[in-house]
Amino acid sequence: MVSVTSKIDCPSCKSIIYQKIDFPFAFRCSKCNNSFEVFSSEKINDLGIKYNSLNFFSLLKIGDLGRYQNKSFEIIGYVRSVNSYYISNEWMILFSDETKKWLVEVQGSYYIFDNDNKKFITENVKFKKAESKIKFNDKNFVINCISKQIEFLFEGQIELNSVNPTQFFIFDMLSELGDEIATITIFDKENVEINLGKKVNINELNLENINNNNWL
Amino acid sequence: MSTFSEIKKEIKNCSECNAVIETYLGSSSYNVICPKCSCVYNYYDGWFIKSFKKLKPLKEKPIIDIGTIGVIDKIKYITLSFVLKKESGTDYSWHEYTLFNPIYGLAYLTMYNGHWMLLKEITEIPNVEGRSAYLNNERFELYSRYRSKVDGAVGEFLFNFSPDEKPQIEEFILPPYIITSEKTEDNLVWLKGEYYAPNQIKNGFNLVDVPDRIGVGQIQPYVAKFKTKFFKQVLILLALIWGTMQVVFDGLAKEEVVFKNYINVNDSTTGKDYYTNSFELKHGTKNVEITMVTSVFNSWIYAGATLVNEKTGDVYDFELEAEYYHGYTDGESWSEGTNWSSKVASSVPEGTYYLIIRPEKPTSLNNMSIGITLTRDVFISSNGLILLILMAIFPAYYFYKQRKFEENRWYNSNYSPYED
Amino acid sequence: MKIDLEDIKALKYYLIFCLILILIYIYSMIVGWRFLSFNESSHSRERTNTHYHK
Repeated sequence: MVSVTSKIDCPSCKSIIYQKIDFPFAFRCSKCNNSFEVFSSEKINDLGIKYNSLNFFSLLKIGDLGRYQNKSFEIIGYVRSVNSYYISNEWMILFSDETKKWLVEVQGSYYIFDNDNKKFITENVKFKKAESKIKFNDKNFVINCISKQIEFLFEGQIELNSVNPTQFFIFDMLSELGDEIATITIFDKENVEINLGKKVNINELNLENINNNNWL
Repeated sequence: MSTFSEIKKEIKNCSECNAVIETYLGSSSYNVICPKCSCVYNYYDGWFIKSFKKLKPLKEKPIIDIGTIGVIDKIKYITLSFVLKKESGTDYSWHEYTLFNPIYGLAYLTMYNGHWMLLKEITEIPNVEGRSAYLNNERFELYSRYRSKVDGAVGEFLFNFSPDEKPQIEEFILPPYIITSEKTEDNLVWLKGEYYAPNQIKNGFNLVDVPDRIGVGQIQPYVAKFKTKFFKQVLILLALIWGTMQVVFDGLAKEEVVFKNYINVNDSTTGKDYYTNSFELKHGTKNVEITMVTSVFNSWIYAGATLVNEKTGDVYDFELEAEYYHGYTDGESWSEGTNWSSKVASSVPEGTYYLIIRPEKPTSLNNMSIGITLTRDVFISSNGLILLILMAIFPAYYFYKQRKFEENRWYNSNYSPYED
Repeated sequence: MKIDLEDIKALKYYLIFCLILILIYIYSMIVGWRFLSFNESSHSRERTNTHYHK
């Protein structure tokens, strides 16, 4: 449990960072734009990742507040993962009960993903193509996109294991019933993970700054 | 990094031709294409750098300009891109506009031969069985299967624009809806679309003009004003009402025989009046049916019957004629006419009546007995038949036209159910 | 069964036509009026079938 009063100093510019999540985590300082990995309040290392300055349209931003399934949440971190097919904008949301989920936006569609990465058997994805079926948790999924991450950046605070700036393969899948989606991430032969999620309507998130949006 | 939550126009310049390139979503766009020289720019990384992708210059102007804001089904969209697509190996080409709403996401508006449809990505995977695809228990029929290719494009794209890809397309229709799958080695997208009339697009986007429709659209509804399904439900209801009325009126008909007698027709009685006793016609105003039964063979027999109201003097005249001929011609047996006759008088008020019957026979015919029956309040089945025919004229016309329409719809398909 | 008012509006002329036909039919069945009884009988004050037939 992280106390809301926990704070650390940015090692580079000494700005105060209010810690939102448990150790170890990574943060990018909004003042000096440097990013760090934090193992404890004493052990903070520079990640040495520099990002281009980006200017892009998004309904969401770090610090936004909302409510989903009767739990209030705050957006605390952001990951932008560009792959060979599309741009995935992934917002780490922290709920009032300290649980975390990923709110993912791809081409204007929104998805909520669980934060617990489950291990997946490498053999199960071998030679698979779009439209191939994969079984997970007794549920049939159909692969709808196979891509490769080519760009990564993050902002705010995210868990340290979410910092993945390397190139890796991504298998996006839809459940045959259409009620669930899943993403398999293949970092290397031994390291394959699966995340489950579902499509949401952005209105379900009761985001404070969207209520008056003139595109509603 | 900075984000903006209001869509705003940003001006870039093409490094190749110096043309002005307008973008609206910043680096939310993966690629941007120059409207003049069709250079493809990468924008996903924040830089605006020309990519190696090659694209032919556009041969057709978009009907909806990039950046145009329009409303379809009460949802406001901004037009992000225009792609001229073609069926690989043929001359068929169509327009595809990418529309974006920050809340509702992307939609694809296509136009072919003046027919418009709006498609949105779905997360369900339809179940394909042979020439059918099932989505939410609805059956869509295979209409076409082909590879599409890009024949020119302009605007910004939220995905990696691949001009060289030729995805396999399968289209299944259930007018006014369509589901289509777009498949490459690495990507599978299912979309669901709906037909929109040209005026809906013209008004929704404030366009000066839209192309006229040519032929029947792939998912153009037969009659836009009411749904065939509803019409069929109405017809079932009418059929039930009709059937119920037949049963009810058949049950209510009294079919009361008020007079029955045999009259001998011979040379002395032919042409002479025969008066019956009085009888009562009851049940208010109802019909009466008079029937003459004879055993005439290769001859005729006639009876003029007059029903007279004793009180008012009103008369109802009937002419009953039985003619029956039978023979052999070239070894073939034939027969003509009937040996009985029946007539109905409508709306005869109740009261005391009698009949005057004047039978006639040809001199060649020997004595013959004719049976005369008068029945009060008979069930008139022909009225029900006439009602049915009149009510069926419009549905018959509607469904005949619909079939012609469907034949035209499937004319361009290799999977037409109307071809032998 | 969900009924769309637009469908009813679009079909109103046919529905009115059917309603009139049904009402005429019901009336005809009540008073015993056969639509096809023209020339089957003639109603008058005087007898008309007194001529010789053939």
